[in-house]
Amino acid sequence: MALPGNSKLACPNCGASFPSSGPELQAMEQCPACWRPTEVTLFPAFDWPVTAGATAEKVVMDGEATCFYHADHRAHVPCDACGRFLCALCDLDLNGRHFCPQCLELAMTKNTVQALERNRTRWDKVIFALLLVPLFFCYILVPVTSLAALVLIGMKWKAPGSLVSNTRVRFIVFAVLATLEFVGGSFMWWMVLGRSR
Amino acid sequence: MLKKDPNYQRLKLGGAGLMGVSTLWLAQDHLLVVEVTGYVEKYRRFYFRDIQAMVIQSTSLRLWWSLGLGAMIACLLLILLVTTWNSPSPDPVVVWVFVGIMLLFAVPLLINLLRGPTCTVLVRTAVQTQKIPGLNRRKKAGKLMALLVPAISAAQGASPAPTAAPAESPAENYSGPAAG
Ligand SMILES: [Zn+2]
Ligand SMILES: [Zn+2]
Ligand SMILES: [Zn+2]
Repeated sequence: MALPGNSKLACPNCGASFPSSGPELQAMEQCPACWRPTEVTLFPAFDWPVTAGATAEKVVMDGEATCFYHADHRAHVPCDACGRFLCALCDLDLNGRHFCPQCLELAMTKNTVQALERNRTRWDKVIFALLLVPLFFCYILVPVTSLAALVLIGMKWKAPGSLVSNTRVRFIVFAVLATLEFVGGSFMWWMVLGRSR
Repeated sequence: MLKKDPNYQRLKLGGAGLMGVSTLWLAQDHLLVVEVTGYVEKYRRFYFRDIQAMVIQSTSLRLWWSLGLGAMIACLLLILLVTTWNSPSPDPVVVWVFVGIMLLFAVPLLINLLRGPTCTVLVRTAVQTQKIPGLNRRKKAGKLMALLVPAISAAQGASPAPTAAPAESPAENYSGPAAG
């Protein structure tokens, strides 16, 4: 991130920069450099000045609540996660919820706030690959890989699932498949070993 | 799951991009784009308050697909004509196999043509410009704009930049130790 605020819009195709003024942008019908038809829709936020960060107020009277991180700044709001008092500088607003820098970082690394989540591992897909790939490439390993899939299903049963497909249902189906694979694979092994004896 | 979440409305506008499959979800104050690539599900949230501009640019994706698929069909047709030209009674099995393979290319070609012109959709905020993955047809882009433009305009209203910390003077605001 960290592009300077209100940097120019650039053509996604050729990288040439578009005009910077609003009316010119809206009147634009094609990229000035590569002539690709381009349509720009502007919203009020386009004209908003880059807001300077909030400034914290100094404590003026004794007994006033102060920021946990700045003893001389007036408390502005408590952190929604840990309850510490925060000044306007330390308050990180997230769609109406307020966090201190520490809690926000924790939320981002531990994925505890859904609005901050950037990605999730799709364990159902990993398990599916574990069930399918050995069948085609090294089927003698099937009893081992199917057992591993069962263990993984147990371990990831409570892990946050996909937001778009039903992970639980998939887990149940895969558990049945893994059991079948395990029984079938073990039976195959038993036959092979039994015959060689 | 988003399907069961009353806060999210599924927009049937996503599709397959270069990297994976994406779905679009509309919430009260943002657009959520879920992109599944390999074993990872990526989330991108575009908050209506933050969107400064949206850019729709035409791409030549449809043209290239049409040319590629058309070239394959033309090649197959040429091979079929050359091999059957001199034979008085061409083997019907060979002819049907060729026609079958040509259909395999003709159907996607037709779908590609019917889905209309292709485009890229960009969302620009104060800090970055991002492409919406999987959204690459003008028809879909138009539908998305029809939904987003009113939502963004409503979220941004006519009000200027979000007002930072309340600017009352401390003395006025002070009304005892419990204030805050
Ligand atoms: Zn260009
Ligand atoms: Zn906190
Ligand atoms: Zn502070």
